[in-house]
Amino acid sequence: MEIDMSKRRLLMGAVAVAGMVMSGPTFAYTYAEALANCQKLVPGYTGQYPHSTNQCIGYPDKNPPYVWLYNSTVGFVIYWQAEVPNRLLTITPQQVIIPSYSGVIGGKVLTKASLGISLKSGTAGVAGKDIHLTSSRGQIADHFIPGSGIVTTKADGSASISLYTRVQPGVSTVTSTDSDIQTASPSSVSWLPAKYDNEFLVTCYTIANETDWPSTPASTDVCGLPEKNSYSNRFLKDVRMQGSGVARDGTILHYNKGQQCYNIESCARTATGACAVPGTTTAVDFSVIPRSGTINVAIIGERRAQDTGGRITGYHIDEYVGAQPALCRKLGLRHSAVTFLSY
Amino acid sequence: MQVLKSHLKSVFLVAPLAFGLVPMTTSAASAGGSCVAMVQRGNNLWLVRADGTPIDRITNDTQPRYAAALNPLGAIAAFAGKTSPDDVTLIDLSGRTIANVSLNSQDAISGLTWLNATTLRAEEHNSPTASTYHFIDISGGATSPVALPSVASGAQCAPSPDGKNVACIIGGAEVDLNDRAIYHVPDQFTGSALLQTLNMASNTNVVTNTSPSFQVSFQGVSAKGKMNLRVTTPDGLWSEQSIAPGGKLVVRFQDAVNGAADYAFQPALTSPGVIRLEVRKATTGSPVIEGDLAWDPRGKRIAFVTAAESGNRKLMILNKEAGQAANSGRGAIDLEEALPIDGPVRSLAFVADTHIRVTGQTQQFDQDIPAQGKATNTKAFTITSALPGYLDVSFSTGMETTAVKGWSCK
Repeated sequence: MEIDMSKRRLLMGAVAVAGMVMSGPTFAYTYAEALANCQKLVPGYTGQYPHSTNQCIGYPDKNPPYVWLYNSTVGFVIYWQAEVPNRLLTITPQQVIIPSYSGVIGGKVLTKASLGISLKSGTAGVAGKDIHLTSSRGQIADHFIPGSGIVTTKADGSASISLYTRVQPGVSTVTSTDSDIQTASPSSVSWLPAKYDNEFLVTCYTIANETDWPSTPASTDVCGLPEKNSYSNRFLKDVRMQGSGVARDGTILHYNKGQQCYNIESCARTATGACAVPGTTTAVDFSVIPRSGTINVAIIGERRAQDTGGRITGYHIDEYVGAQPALCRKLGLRHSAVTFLSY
Repeated sequence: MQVLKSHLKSVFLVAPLAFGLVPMTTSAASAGGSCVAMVQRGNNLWLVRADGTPIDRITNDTQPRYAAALNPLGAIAAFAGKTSPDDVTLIDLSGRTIANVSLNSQDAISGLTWLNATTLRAEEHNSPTASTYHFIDISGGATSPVALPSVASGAQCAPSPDGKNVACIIGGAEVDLNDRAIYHVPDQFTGSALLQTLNMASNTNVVTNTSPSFQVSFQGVSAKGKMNLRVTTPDGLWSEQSIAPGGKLVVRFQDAVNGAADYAFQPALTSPGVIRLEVRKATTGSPVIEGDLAWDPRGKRIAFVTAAESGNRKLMILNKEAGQAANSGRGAIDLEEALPIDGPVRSLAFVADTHIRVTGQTQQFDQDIPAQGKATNTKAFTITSALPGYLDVSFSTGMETTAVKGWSCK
């Protein structure tokens, strides 16, 4: 027999086939070698059975793969067990994003990592292979889409799958559970920072300022405020609409909508109760960006999601710039990418 | 993963006893069957069926489009920001520009809403809680839109059908009609928990034994009998108020133990220079007016929805004429009833004088009401599936979840 013995190793000395015990050269090869060796035998086969009835039957997808020399009279005669192929899996994570349909649920955003898959045997892509993936954090924290975590390679051995979670921060390591696949580079996904998939409208807002309005008509003995103080009516309405404002004397007025009354505050309070600070405070839609979260707005830098209001819906960031209406108007209409940094 | 389903097809019948209302039996409704939606993918607009299959790509360039909105008749769409922040553009469904409207606004147009088939509301951003509203009339044809002279400030401002009145939501808690308050949300401290009662003399300070604890400073009584109080929260921030009898100073404080909560400090003068101070904690958040305002076709009534932090919602209908006639600062309430749908409310409309419709996130509430006068709270209603706010659209490159920018139903 012209069998390349260089890589083989003995597996078994006897095989039970069709009720008979057959002896045969049962050695392990790569699958291609096993098939080639079988096919070498078939044309010149000189055994006791007519060779026209012999054929090679291969099972490349079995674990391990193998090839049988099959005889139509007696059944299987010889088999070659191939070594588990050296299939290397490379998993490459893309940038973690927050998809447009994320929403904030339970105070958390949904983050998505797209994983690029490449399965190769040597330099060739392995096609049509089902790869079973698992995450180090388990299914409670991380969810694959498709949900089974099984992805099938395309003709070039590539595939893609997405991993989602609402459990951040943290790191997930993705590997294959298939025994015939070696994960060359397990994918480590660090869940934060995560970039929003949508651009945001970026506007700015100022605190209501009494000096922006004419001093008359004015009101005294305003509910909650010092009786003798006089306030511009238009300014008071502004404070009612916006929640806070700076009076001419520099005091910060706040309107309590439930009490329909004003009070004086030590600072301009945001919807979260924090003091509004230019360069820090932004108003956002808390169903898009979690309350008090830290974000990076590409065009203005790091900010906190400290404020909100009914006029800020969806992908809209309103930057607090203090009592500078002229600066705010000058900034105009802007758009920016936004990255969520931390809760 | 929360992907909103394209549409639901069930009809919900609501338990009548839970809300004191009588649900009406209906046949199953098919949400979206004969409707088309406009969605935005990147900067481009698409027309899609309710099942998520694309019908046509309306625009095919990279031009920015913001606040896009499909006219309810389905023939034209509007968007902002074509050339400048205050531009509003009308296009037909082949993407051809029909008209450009410049509103001469000072800030970005952050929202466009078709109040009806001929009135487009443009929202100019001001602050997180207030906008300036412009109204564009296309009753003379979409090729000759007219920016109406009335401009209003507040939230969700809506002109009456004759254009003579404008109603707005102010601060999420008040409805104004022509700059005059006609409704306020109720006091959140009704039924609140009493934490502590203190007796204090003028110019004294105490620290409450509540959790969290507050430093209270009673600074005396004014000539008009107002009690001056300052409350300092554990983080060192303070609030100060001259409190009339019956009034209270409300302070919001958030910490890791108690979360965010509102606390009320209500003083009562018991003898000259001495007060008895009640410290209360609100058990519910302050209710807010949610969603939009809607005028009835005759321009006599205004509908809106209030939402409590608990998620309970109420449908309110104010009779603005009765309110004005009474000059009481409040509109007369024609209807106040529980609204048993999921929120937040997306839209609100009088379908007719005798029918109102409220759309939540996934549910639509419909109810017949009297054409005028008080509505009882025992009228039958139906709850059906709402047209979704998101659609899973099967683009050639794969399925994408997209936000709906308007529905048009035949």
